Amino acid sequence: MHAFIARRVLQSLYVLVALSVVIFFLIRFAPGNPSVIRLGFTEDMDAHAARERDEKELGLDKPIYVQYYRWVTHVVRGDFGVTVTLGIGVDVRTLVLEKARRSLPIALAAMLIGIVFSIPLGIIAGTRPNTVIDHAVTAFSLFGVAAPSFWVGLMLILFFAVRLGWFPTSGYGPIEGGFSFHNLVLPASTLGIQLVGGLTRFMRSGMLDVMSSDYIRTAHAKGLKYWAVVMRHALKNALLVVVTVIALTFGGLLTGAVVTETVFAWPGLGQLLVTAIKRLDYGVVQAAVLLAGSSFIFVNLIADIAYGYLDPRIRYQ
Amino acid sequence: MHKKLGLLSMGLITVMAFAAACGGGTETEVREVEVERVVTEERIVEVVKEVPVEVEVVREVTKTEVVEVIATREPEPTTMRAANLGPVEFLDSAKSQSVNDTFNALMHAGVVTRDVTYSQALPEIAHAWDISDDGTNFTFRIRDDVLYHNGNKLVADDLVWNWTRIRDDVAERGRGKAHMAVVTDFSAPDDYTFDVNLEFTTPIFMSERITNLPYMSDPAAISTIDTSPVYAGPYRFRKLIPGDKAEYELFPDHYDTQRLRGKPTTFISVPIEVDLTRIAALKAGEVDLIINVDFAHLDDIEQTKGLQLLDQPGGFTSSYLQIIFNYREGITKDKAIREAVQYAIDKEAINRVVFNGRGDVGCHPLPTEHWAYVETPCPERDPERAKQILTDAGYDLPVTLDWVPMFVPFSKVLAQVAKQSLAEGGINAEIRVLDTPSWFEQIHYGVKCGADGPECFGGLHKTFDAGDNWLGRTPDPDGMITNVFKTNEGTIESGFSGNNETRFYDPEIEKLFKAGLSTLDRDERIRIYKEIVDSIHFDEIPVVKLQTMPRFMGASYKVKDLLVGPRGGAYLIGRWEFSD
Repeated sequence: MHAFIARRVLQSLYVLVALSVVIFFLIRFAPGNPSVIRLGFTEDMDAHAARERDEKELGLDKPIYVQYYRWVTHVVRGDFGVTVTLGIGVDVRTLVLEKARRSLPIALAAMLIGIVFSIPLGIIAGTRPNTVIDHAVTAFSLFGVAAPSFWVGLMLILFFAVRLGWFPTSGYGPIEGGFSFHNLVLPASTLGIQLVGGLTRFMRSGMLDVMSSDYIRTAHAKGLKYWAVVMRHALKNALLVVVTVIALTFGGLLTGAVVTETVFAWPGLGQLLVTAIKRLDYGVVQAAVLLAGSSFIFVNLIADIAYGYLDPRIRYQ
Repeated sequence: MHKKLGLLSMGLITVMAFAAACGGGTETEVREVEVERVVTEERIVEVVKEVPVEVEVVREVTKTEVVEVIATREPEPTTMRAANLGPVEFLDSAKSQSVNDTFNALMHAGVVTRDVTYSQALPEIAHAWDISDDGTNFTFRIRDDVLYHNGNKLVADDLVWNWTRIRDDVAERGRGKAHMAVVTDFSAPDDYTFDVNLEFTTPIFMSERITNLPYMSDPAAISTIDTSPVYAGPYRFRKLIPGDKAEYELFPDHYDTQRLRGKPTTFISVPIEVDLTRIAALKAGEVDLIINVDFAHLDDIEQTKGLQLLDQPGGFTSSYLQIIFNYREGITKDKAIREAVQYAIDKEAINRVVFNGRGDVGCHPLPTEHWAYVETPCPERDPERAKQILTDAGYDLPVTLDWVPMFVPFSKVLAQVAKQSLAEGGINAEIRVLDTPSWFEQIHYGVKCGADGPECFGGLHKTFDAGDNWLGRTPDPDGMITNVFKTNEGTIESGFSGNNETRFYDPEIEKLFKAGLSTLDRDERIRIYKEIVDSIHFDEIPVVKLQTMPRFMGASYKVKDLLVGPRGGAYLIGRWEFSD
């Protein structure tokens, strides 16, 4: 088992290095020039020369592999540099971690909504295939998957915040400061509706598969009550797929809530990423994506190790 | 197992419901305004003596006088919340030119400030000034009671230090250096005198140049200017959460106590990028002010109870929209194409569809209320004539051109309307949308090119044919016209900068620019700018003016008397008030 874990950790490290290369080079393929954005609308200035001076200041005049080497050698020491557009001199590591901390509640709450609603719905639909209830659940889950979160978010704002006044329209908490659960409800619901849609479909198909298995038929034949068979024997196995999907989804939720965070002005990692991309703040983009990627890799690593424990065959493959 | 799951689900739902129910609310605290009304009755006995008749008449008059006594205790703290488009970028205002930093102006104090039309200088740090007969020397008398936010006293040497920094140290950030273009030197003969010498006299030095340098900061606190700036304005910096909100608080030791009157004690700016969310936040009472209201939502705000639309006094705006052409490259190098676009474009349709009919369609770059505006007949829309011009110039119809919308939200819709109207004139506008960084690189700055030549100036060339361009310039004709056609040093060899995306250049026009900038005679300036407009806008046509753009903000009725400046920003200097 130890060798298995060591192998998986090593593989994760490879992926992390590859990720750092991809992030670094991809952002540099993005159109535009960071110095041009920084200089903005120049007046009475030789724009060409000003840009070259700024590129030098940012180290962008160096060959790209030199830039990468510098970045990586600093990153391994925990130095992600300072942001050049979001408050001059602010430490990127502090900024990204702070934003991630703010994205965490939205990710957790959305996940909670996803789990709480999708599992019962999936069970109901999976145990009553081709009934009205099944069709209704399928339609709802399709809506959840298909409806753009931008639209869902705005509709929730207009109805629950503006019309009913139940929840705030936007922000992380009261404008005066702090975090509020009230502010969390609408963005988490927006993201949650999407998750419910996806997870319900997985749960439903998992239940359908399991319910037609021999051991379930055997359980019925033994005279067990219907719901006892479903909850004690079928659910456990049907959940396996859903748990995997949940683990994978959560890794991406930290930065995956870009649209939701933008609509609700939620100052999290997703919104930071969008702002940094617009301003071509390479340092912030690299750090944010690296953090999101790392969390994704970490969650997968945990899932892999858990699978190794649960199913010994995986360890030997 | 199912019991456990059931219990778990119930538990989770309960936790969520509880969290939602008891989470910290954002309800606004209702406070009682304490105003004591004291009614006094005064008996006035008026004695009227009539002489020489010895009759004495005594008339008793009772006058009731209402005296309003405002409680003398400290005013209740109030917090005004404003929604901006994005998070604050620079706290060092000398480095900033972003609209997201607009509320940093609360912290500023300059040598002088400006009136709401941005056309007249008003006293600020300088309480008075003398101007030499030839108009090239300004002597400012500095107040002796100006304090920085850290309590340090501001003296004239600080102004010298700040101006030097703006001109030399942070010249490539912000626009400060450009505003000091005509300044030859400046000095502080004593603590309360600030001397400035100009290269030549100019009508815009006081009204525009110097008022655009309002961010005098304490030299002793320069090391923290990017994170915790120290200025001398009516508000001081309190907190910035990078990528999020900024907080300012009233500076009680500001020299102008009148200016502090009625102002909120705390001002918080939050970034809300999405238009609809911004408006929803205003409607829900979560913010008191939103900037940059989209034209599509103006009616909505006007019709919502408790909300108001803030606008520019007298509708005076220096913001306008035009079509720009790549004057030196590609198909639009040919004047026939530019002229055909001028006749084919449906300005009224653009105004109606994109701007809710709120714009003022025209062809003169200045608004009709402007002192330098001269009534000029606009070319009537005539798509058939556009086709004829193209056919006469030897083109097969339709002529295809590369239309690159600006990066602002309405530009893509505008491009669609423009495409339809141009099609009627035999022009096929192929729309190519660029992200903001690419627009800046390809359209504003230009792309690097090998050697200087007919299409490559200052090592750069442009990669577009036409597009829209929204400007918000200072209201003097120098700002609204000259600034748009700027070359680096007044020569074509030096390349182009500023807002001269078209790269239009004419040495004769350059002379007129200089003449317009260096005479104080308003009639002469009107004549000069008419000649410039006739030559550029109606003869060479590097641009086609579409419309003058009024600018609006949305606010709750807690905000009183806040006006919008001609460029579209809030006139925070004014006597506006806020009641929570």
